[in-house]
Amino acid sequence: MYSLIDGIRTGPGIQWPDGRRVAVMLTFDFEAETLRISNLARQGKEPDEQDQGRYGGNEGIWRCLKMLDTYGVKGTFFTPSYVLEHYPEAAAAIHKAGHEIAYHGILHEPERYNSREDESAKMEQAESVIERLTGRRPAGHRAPHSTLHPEAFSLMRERGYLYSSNLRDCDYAYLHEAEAGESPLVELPTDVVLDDFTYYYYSCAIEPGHRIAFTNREYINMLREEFDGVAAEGDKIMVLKFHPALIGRPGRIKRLGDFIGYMQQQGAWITTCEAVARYVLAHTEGGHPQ
Amino acid sequence: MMEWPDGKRVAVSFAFDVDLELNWSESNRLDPGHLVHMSKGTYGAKQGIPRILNMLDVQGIQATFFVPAYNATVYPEVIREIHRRGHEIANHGLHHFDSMGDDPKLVFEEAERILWELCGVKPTGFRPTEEEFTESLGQLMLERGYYYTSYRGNWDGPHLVEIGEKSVPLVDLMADAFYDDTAYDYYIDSPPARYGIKSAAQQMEIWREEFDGMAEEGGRVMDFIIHPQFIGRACRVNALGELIAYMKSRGAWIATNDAVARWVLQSKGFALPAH
Repeated sequence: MYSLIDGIRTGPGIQWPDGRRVAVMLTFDFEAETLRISNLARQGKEPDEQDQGRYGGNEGIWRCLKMLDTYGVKGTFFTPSYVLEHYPEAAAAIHKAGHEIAYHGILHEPERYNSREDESAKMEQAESVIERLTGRRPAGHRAPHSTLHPEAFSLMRERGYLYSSNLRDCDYAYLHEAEAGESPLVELPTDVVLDDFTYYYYSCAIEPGHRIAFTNREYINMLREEFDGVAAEGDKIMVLKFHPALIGRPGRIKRLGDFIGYMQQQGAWITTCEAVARYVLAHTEGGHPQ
Repeated sequence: MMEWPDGKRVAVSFAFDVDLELNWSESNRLDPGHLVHMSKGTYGAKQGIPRILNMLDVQGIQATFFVPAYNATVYPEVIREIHRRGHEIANHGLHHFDSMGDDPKLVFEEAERILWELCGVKPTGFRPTEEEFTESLGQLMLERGYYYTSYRGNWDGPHLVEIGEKSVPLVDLMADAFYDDTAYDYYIDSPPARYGIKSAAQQMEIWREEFDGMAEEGGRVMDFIIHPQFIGRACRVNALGELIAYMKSRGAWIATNDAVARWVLQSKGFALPAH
């Protein structure tokens, strides 16, 4: 796929099903209190502000599920296994509604200098929790804190992942370069501008404090600008990132619902990461669309 | 007051800093082993530049690309394509955040050799990065045939660099952080964090109002510092295209840094170095 970097082509020219303009994935990093804990752990601080995270498991997640049901769309939930175990009703509801559950660590671990063996063991533990809930191993991987282990891609292949949703290198899906005999791995890039964290995360404990207050209108407007831009190009994806503790407030979820309705009306294919990855794999030969 | 060609009101230059992954690996502020941050740099070459080149074609304007020469060795096809589409390739050092070291001449020689071998161009401008501009660096630029730079914000340009309190034929096009897109579209979600971000519409509104003021005064130059990895998103490239169209309709002379600097020197009665 490196060969696509030629200064000329802006995308792979893939065509989405039924003439859709852009593949949109609604992804929820459902971390509950583990995000607050790990964010502070990165700065060597003790856990704090955990209730702001628990709100996501107690309240936010249910509003997210209800909204998805209202609009008849499926999302992808990157969920640390600790959260699946500590919010069992929410976890069961996500799965029962037909949404995808994917890998996001055990406790949203921020470290990446652990050994390959330790990283693999961590993945095993988290994957087995997902398997007990869904009956199968996760197809997708998103590293906690957007922080990839140096061996992450190799481990994903070894452990049978179909896709990674980690990098920020383009607005289209592509296959990672593979050695002969290696299984294919699809990348579904995303970006901070597509992440509700950028607009809504409020923390006094972290340094520097993250205290930007965007209005819902400003936030949705940023997403709409991005959507309109990539939808016009035709061969792009848009991996939106949400956190139930942030987006799951009543005013915000309502505006997000409005925006999902807008995207549907504008010809978006809104589906799970796994569905897009399978489609891309089926329509890609040797790294280029067939 | 500087008079621009054909009675245009203001000279506008879009100068892209092609820093790419070097923005994340060489700054000593962040970790080069952070694969996700590095991939954001790749976005500039892989996604941003092709979009930007298409938009510049649609608007029918030429821009300037300051290329750290190391990146020309990593993405030779991309840099050649920029040159093939008629844009200016200018000097941005070797590794972006590297200082000039003990011997800036060696850095210039190596950067010029790489750009020459790749595109057959000899840069006429150099935009310094972290290092402060010194008189000896200015002298070195003059000796090597450069006639412009773009690094300071203490005047509205254009301005001639002074060496020994004497103006020399080295134009400073000026480049305040106001014209730097990272003031509006650069967000890092891990320490050391930077949390500011504006929508494409807000970013262009800020620049449009400044343009209106500059055009009203007349004789000014606006030189942008924009980064393909940040401004290269679809919505921002589209919005920048709209801003360019707006400027064209209101008396802007949109040209490369090189063209603006040549005009300034000629207007001030300096002979241009032979090339």
